[in-house]
Amino acid sequence: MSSKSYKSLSDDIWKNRVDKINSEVFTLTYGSIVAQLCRDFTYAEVNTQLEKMGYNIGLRLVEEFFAKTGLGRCTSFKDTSEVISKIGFKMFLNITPTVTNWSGDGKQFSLILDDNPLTDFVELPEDNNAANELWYSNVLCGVLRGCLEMVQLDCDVYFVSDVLRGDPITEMRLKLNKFLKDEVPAGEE
Amino acid sequence: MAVYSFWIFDRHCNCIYSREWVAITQDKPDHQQEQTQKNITNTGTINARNQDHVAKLLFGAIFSLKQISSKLNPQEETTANNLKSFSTLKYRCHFFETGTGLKFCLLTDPKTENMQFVLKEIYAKLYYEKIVKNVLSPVDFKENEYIDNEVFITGVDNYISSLAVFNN
Repeated sequence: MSSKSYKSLSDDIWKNRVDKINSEVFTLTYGSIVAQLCRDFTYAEVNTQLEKMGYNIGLRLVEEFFAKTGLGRCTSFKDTSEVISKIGFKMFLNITPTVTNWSGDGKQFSLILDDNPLTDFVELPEDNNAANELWYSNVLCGVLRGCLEMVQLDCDVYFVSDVLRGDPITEMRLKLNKFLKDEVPAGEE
Repeated sequence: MAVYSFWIFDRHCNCIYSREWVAITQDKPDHQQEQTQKNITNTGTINARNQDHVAKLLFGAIFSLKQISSKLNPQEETTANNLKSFSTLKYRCHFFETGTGLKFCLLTDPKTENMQFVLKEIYAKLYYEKIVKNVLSPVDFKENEYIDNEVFITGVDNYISSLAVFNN
């Protein structure tokens, strides 16, 4: 499918097929989860917890993605990047991150989030540690890792920079480790 | 009745749901699950054949046909050649696989038309709504674990029995 038809498919899904909630409720709910985690754990641990929460969300979210889009598996990792940005992010968050910075071997790329609904109204705590250690939107990394694992792509996903920390852009990096094999019935191989 | 049975296999190749309206072989099911769900239905069996030889053979047949159809495809790299159905003298097996490796399979009369939409509908409306969204259902079923959610079971029964082919 061309990237143009991805766009019209995701526009249609966003308009007609997904349940929506008020974005401020969403932002504030996420904010209070992160705030509570920050009270309970160190920033490094908060990142881990958010990633884990995201991972568990991703394992189920991917079924919603397939149920609503009717798509099959992607044929290449390039294709995957387009689908994540133009359909995945679009149908769940109504944003379309830019895919860029491909590595030479075609196994790593970056997603630039121009607009991140999770971070509206957010300011990091004023101690220096937060700006150096906390990845506020780390739940997104977990979601992507969980979803990709369900389609047999073993990936690392992490933030490289975040405007909340004072960086010029918000950049997520995806790194494909390996294609996992579909399981085969006992006795076959 | 032209719909014989319905099966779901998960990505670990286990049969997580089986529903039989008309006996497909003369064998008795290998194990008869305690019929706690008798009140839901009075015809056929539910989850009685998951561990059965028939389930394993059916999975094996689908698995092999899927392999051969993807191999017999000159454009393997760019476009998929997916298995949709196969038929024999006595039945037609309709097949649909999701991106996550869930396999849905429906056995019907050989004269039945393409039933892909039925399997997709069951996935999107019933499996997704009642199993995936249900916090009490696991993401991954363990071996010997079945779908025993009543809403799902009655949902599938009602949907399939509402199809025109069911009453042919």
